[in-house]
This record gives sequence, C-alpha cells and structure tokens, in this order.
Amino acid sequence: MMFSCKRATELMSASLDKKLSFYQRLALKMHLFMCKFCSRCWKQMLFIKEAMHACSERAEEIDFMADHSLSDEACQRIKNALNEESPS
Amino acid sequence: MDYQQLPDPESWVDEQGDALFRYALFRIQDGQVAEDLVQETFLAALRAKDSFAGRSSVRTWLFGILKHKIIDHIRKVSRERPAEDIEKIASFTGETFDERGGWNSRPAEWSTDPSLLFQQREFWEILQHCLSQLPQRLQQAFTLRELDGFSAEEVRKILKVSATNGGVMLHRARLRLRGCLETNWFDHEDRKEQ
Repeated sequence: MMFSCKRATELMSASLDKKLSFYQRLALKMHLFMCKFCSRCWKQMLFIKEAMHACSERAEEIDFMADHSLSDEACQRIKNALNEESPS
Repeated sequence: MDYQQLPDPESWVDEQGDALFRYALFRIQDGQVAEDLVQETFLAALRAKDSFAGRSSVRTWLFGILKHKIIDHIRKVSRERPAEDIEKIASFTGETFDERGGWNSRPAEWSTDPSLLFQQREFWEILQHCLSQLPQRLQQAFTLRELDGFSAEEVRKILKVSATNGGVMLHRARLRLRGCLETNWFDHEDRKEQ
C-alpha cells in the first residue's frame, strides 16, 4: 500500500474541505479500493457530514440540551434589560 | 412594518428563551456566556424589530441573530486566546492509529441510511453528546465548518489558526466523532437487534 491508513484519513478529511490534487485523488482511490476499514471510515465521514447538514437545517426543531433551561433569574434579568431598552 | 406580527418583547423571553439558551449552550458549552448571548440576541432583536418582515417565524428570526452572536463570540475569544491547545489536539491520533499509521481500533460496518436515522430523536441526542465530548476548539472548528457552513479557510480565520492546524483540527474532529458515534450509537443498535 502506498501510504498508511492514517494518511488516507487525512486525505479523506482534506477532500471534504478542498479539491485534492490529481495524484492525491488517485492515491486515495487506490487505498480505499484495497482497504475495507478506510473504505468504511470514508462512508462514515460522508454520513457524518450529511447528518451535520440535516442538523443545521433542523436547528430550531431539534431540542438541543433539552435538560437545560434559562434560569428564572436570567429570564428576569433579560426582561429588565429589554424594558430598559424600550420603556414604552 | 406590521407590529401586530411580533408579540411583545417580554413574551419573547418566555416563549423563545429556553430554545435560544439551549442552542447557545450547545455551541458554547458555558452557561454564563450562553445567557449573555441570549440577552444580546433579544436586545439586538428589539433594536432591529422594524426589520422583522414576518416572512419567517419569530423563532427563525431570533435564531438567525443568535447564530451571528455565537460566531462573533468565537471570533472574539479566538482573538484573545489564540490556539492554546493545538499541540494536545495534534497528538490525539496516537489513540486511533498505531505507530505505523494502521488502525488501532478498526472501523466497524454501520448502517448509514439517513432516511432511517434522522427520524430518530435518540440519534440526534447521541450526535449532540458526541459533539460535546470534543475538546472545545475542535468542536468549534467542526461546527463552524459543518453546521454554519463556513469554508475551511473561513473557519481558520475565525479561529486564528494556520491552514495546517485548521486542517488538523477538522481531521481530528471527524475521527473522534466517528469513533464516538460507533461506540455510542451503532454498537448499541447492534445490541438491540441481537
């Protein structure tokens, strides 16, 4: 194999952020063809990217950190600040 | 501007405060800062309420403002405290790979069918858990890139790191997230099926 699995994952990650050179693309393709673990890792990296995109689109529906809430004090402080800003 | 479309500011806090706070906490992982960002968001919204066109919901509008506040905050902190833990981050792949660069713990096969997984609330909880397990700088690099959709070049400028370190951070974040999902979700799924 031309380079290590570690190097292959670096190229996989880089390819998600920029265009690889012709040689890099070819070398990565060959590595993925021969290495089933890297090939899985690549599929999973693509999946994670897709999941994050879906997560971003649903940011308002997904109840992040559902077990946390704004404290009563913070609520009151924010309301006071808003009232000061707009005394009407 | 139709003022009828916007409820009064005090009820914004009751109706939207928790959702905004939770998202800010998810992104910044500091309750005090998250509260401040929510307050700044409401104040900015109040000042800009004439620009609320009613084309989107109040929540979407407020989330849009909050996301800008979060990015401004990350930018500011990165300016004040540039890249202190890159060294630690860079050494991480030692756990993932052996000294010759082979897998220490070989990736398992998972189902990567989005139409199935994205419907499950538990999947999002675990994704969120795994993101929160990343060191803060890695989490920020990764969420700026994949949630906010900044290019890798923009991400490294926001975080004030070199192009090389920016690439290293995204690579580490992806590997860690992969490992965490495998451990917490897909192993667990296998067990359920058996």
